[in-house]
Amino acid sequence: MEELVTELKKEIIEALNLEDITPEDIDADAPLFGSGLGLDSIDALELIVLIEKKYGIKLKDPSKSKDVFKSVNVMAQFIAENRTK
Amino acid sequence: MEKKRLYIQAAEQVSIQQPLSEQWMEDPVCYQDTFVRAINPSFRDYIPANEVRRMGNIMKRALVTGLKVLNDTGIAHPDAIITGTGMGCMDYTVRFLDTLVENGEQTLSPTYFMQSTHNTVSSALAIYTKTHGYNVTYSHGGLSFEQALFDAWMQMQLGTISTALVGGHDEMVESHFELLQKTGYIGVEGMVPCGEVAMSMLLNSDNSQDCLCELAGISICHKPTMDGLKRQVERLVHEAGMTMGDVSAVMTGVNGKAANDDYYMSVADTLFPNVPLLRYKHIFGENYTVSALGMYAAAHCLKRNAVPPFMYDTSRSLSCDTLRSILILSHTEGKEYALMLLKRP
Amino acid sequence: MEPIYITGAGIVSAIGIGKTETLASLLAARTGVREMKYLPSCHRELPVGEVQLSNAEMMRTLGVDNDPRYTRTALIGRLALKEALEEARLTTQSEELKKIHFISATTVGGMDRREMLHGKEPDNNLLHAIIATHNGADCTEMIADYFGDFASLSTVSTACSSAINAIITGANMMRCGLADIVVVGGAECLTLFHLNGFNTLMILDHEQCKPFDRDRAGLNLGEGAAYLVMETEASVSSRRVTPLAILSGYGNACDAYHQTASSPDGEGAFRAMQEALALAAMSPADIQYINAHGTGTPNNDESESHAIRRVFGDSLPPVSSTKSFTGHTTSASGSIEAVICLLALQHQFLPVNINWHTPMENGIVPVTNAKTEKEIRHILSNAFGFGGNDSSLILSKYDS
Repeated sequence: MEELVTELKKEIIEALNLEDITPEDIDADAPLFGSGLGLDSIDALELIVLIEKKYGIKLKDPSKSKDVFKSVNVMAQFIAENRTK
Repeated sequence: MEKKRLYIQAAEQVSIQQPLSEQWMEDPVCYQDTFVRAINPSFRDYIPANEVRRMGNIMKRALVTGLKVLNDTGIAHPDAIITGTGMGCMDYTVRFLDTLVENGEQTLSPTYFMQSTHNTVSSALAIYTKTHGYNVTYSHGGLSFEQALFDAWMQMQLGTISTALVGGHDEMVESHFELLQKTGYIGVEGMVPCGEVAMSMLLNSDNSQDCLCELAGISICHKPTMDGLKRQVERLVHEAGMTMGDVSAVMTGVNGKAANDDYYMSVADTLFPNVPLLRYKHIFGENYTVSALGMYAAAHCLKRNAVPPFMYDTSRSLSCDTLRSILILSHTEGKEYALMLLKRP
Repeated sequence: MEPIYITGAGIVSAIGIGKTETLASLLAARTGVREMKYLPSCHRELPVGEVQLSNAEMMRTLGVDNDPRYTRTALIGRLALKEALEEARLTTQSEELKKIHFISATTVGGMDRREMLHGKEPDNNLLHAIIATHNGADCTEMIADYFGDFASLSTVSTACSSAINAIITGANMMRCGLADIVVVGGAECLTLFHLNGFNTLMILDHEQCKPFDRDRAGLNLGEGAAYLVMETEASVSSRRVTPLAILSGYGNACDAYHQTASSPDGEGAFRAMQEALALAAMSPADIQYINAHGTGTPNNDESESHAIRRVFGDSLPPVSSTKSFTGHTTSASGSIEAVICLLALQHQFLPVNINWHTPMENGIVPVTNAKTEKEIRHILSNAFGFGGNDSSLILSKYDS
């Protein structure tokens, strides 16, 4: 799981073009949206694309993204349970 | 309708010359390449990293030039933001197309799409400055900037606005440059390089502030005859309260390609045979909205009451004794012509 | 402002080629949103509002050679422009046309050609076409040149509010005394580019859209074109033409909130509508019908409802969205819906909001019955684009 969390941090940084941020800067339990990294609705859509592209998970309902992308750890858990790649 | 006088209060650029400065007037950067990317300023100095991360170059450059102009003039919310762009956010458009081809309509990036529509640049300026006024984008190839300027001019004459942030912005990507090169639009032997453009200026109908110059008139026509063009020029000059003899210099968009330059020389030789000619594309390159940089250059020349020697078109051995006004001439493939008259206030 | 007279109108969309077919569909409450037929997308589950003609059929109708360089946008545009010019009795290929300014709106332009050939190595003619038609100017030229030379050509590109903005620019030219006659509007064809683009934003409904419905799930994309011929009073008199309607007012404002979402309080929309009313010297009570932008997305319909209420308060006239008829025709929607409003004025009916069943919380309750109790004299039409480019116009009945 730790490996997945580290990998996920790198993927998020790349997908969202968080130029100034390193994986070490991201607290895996901190909220991704609102506070914490302060991501927004477009970032949520990009993360939906990311999990499909990289992990083969199709999230059809964008309103579920708030729960799935709550934090890096929550996201990693969801991926571990649902990945097809 | 009584004609209002309009002033270019400030103008800033990001281009293949040093950004946000007039250093090019003393010490222009010279290039041998066929395609040159703009020299970017440090965007972080103007826009927080978190907001910049999603933006393509064209948007960042437009924002920076726009923000600097607003800051310089102390106008936080112009009445209008009007933009001209030939190809819009080409980088993100091409990236979206590339992934469309590679991924076959799956797992595409919303960011690339969202920022690919031509009006995102103009909107970004409004969003960033929280400006609710009139906001429009024109995308008409080599006349995009002129159409944006014309709209601003019209609305100022109508009195519906008194300040406008007007800009011309275009970027270029390698793959599109190669396509254009294959069709002979750009990258032709002897031609100026293909450049990138970002120019924002503040137009004001109030002349109490210090300004660069007056925008004395603008006219656009489609497939005019030489006589028709002559009449347009004469009318433009007359409505500006000038005579043809008051035109100190004519600035053309010659770029080293005969098919383009011949149109300019034909008009200049017919209408202004004894007037110094200026050129700017050898400094700023070629792109759809590069005439915005021509206007920026002309405005700064008028402000300084001096023309850098390298801006004279050496096909005529004429230079300006006095610099009262500059007539800027643009055309697109000899079909559409734009005339813009700038003068010292 | 001085009235501007509309003397010709042309429209092509999923609900008909020309005004007669369009009117029949509107009165029969017959949608044009159907299963995808022409666009070669793999997302065939997405209902779309396609013009029911192939490119080859349009080229035949226009009497031009079957040429892959024609962008579908230009073909649709030509059909609409033809109808407008004919109705206004303007002669093509003439000296008369050389005094007329043409302002067209598009965002995708010739992207349909570009995307087919992207990454491939076509021969040089096609290559030129890829580059050329993608460019807004070339697309506008491709529409206009078929009819002859105009005084000037311009292209507005503000996403979904483009066509109203083209109308506004034309009107401003007339008010400045720079034109007696302008032809204004927009054209847009469906492309894989924007179909997939909207799909990535997850705002497309997989069924027919339900504007202003509690259970609305997004928009359906459409394609089409519409153009209006607008003239000064002096021009109308000297040419002895009968106006169809009057352009009484318009407004353009920026929401300045987000690139793809509308603000919760609909500030840009509110300002655009207020401006239109002010220019028309009208109060909200003077409006008998609002043709809403009403895309069917959760965000737009909520934001627009709020903005409409801010303007109209208790004197809310009948409101509907016609996007469940045509789909969202993006850059052409402003002029397509203007022509729909024109038909409503001429034939005195309310375009219904089809596919509406359940009121949304705090939303407007749209018109579902075409019969109007009052005479329709003034209509407000909205078009809101990405980037918060919000525009509105007011059309009025012409009394002959």
